[in-house]
Amino acid sequence: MSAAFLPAAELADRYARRSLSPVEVTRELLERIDRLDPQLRAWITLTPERAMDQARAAEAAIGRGEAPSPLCGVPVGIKDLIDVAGVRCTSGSRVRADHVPKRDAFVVERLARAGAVCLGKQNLHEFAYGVTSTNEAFGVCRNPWSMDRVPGGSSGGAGVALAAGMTPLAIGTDTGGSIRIPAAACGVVGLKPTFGLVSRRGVFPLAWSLDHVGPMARTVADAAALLAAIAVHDPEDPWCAEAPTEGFAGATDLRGRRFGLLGAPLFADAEPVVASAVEEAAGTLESLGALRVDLDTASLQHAYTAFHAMLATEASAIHERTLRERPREYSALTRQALARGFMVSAVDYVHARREQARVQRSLERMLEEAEVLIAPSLPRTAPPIGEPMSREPAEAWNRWMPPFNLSGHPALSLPCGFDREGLPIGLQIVGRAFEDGRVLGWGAAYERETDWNQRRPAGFEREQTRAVDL
Amino acid sequence: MSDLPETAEHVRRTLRERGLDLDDVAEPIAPGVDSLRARIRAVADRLGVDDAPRPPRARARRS
Repeated sequence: MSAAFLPAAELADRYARRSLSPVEVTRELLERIDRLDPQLRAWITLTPERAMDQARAAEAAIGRGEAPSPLCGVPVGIKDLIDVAGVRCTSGSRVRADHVPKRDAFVVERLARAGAVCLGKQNLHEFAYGVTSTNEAFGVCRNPWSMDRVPGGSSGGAGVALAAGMTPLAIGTDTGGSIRIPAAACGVVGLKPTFGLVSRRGVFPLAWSLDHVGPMARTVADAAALLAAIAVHDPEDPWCAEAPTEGFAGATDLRGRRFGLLGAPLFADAEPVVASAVEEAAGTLESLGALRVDLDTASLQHAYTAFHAMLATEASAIHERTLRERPREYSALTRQALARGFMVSAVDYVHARREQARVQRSLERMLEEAEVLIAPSLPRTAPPIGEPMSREPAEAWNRWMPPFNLSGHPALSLPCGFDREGLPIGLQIVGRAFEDGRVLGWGAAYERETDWNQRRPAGFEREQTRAVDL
Repeated sequence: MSDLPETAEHVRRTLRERGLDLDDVAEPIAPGVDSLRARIRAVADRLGVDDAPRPPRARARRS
């Protein structure tokens, strides 16, 4: 059988029973990537030697009965703005095409310590500043569910690689939805953790006040296991909180527990197929004994504006020097986005920060009425490659995600259906600060009742490789 | 639309003042800049002086 679509938890189980080997699984996935990636462009740099060395070390550790974690020998992809020592880290841009970091990012250190196998660096929207992953410099990322559609972004390579069975795990970043957008568009699972839960040391920033690092996987349980490996206090990251870092596999008995369905006016114009999928998901949660509360979202209506002002100004501050020295190395769209930030005044930025505080308070009040909030991840399924993307609040594809980047609350996206063209639909579950495990528990309970995450893009499931059963 | 050329010129001038050679983007981003500034002004108008910001990190750590 092929290991291509096995969850990390099953790989670990099979490793322990000696029915699969980390070395053979790593080799199979690297071969699969070689075969599929010329079309999908999910990866920028592969690290096969490092991967095979780590796989051999993992296999030896398992053989001695000394596996350091459930991720021992499990392959993982790393977004190419997260440092891996000695491996170029492009941030998806010609501007940093030759940058080779000397030290691993904190999350990469943690994964190595857990015994995970780093397959390589994954494609993204240039500097994570966009939602399509249509990358001029390193290849246009394509959605395995329909090759003429975007996979979402900015962590698009991760979404594609998970959906196409190239890796069971990936690390993404999320400033305005960049983990949850590709998770939703590619039919996989992605968690933006609570702000401050996961260290950002060694991760190239997009906007310091909004950036999050988090796990992506094909199952909620795998996302929880990956989060457990990386959510450890980092004393070198001043933004990293000293929070509880255990218990991410939250309770799945939903009886008597409340969820809030985010409704009008903000969450009001989803495509009908998306709206009905989320309504059905709410029904599934109720069938599990959960209690529904319908919530008005008038207080969140200006969240996108505050987000946009903060994102634009912080990103422009980060890029000011290179934009002055080498403007033509940026793609035209990134240059435009960065130029926009210089047009926001300091006074406007302060107003945006004040609105951020207001949005946060408003969400906290909602989360007193309900343990979690649910909403569609995206108002529509993946658009065609090349379609212009708006940054206007009423039109932006990611418009329902930035409120939770502003507030810092944990937000999960997981599959909740498909449209008539077979494109995935995502459900967002949002929880209280540092209750990431509880959010994952709700997600796991929903996932167990449905089979959305069992479906595979046509052509990719049949794309089997040689048997790896030992 | 009537003030668009003026906005584009304002964008061009502001970028040049910062030493940024980005004349090519002034025209395409002008409408978006206009819209963003108008929206921020609307947000500011809604905020009272008592709506003081509270740092998200500090609040998150307390919880």
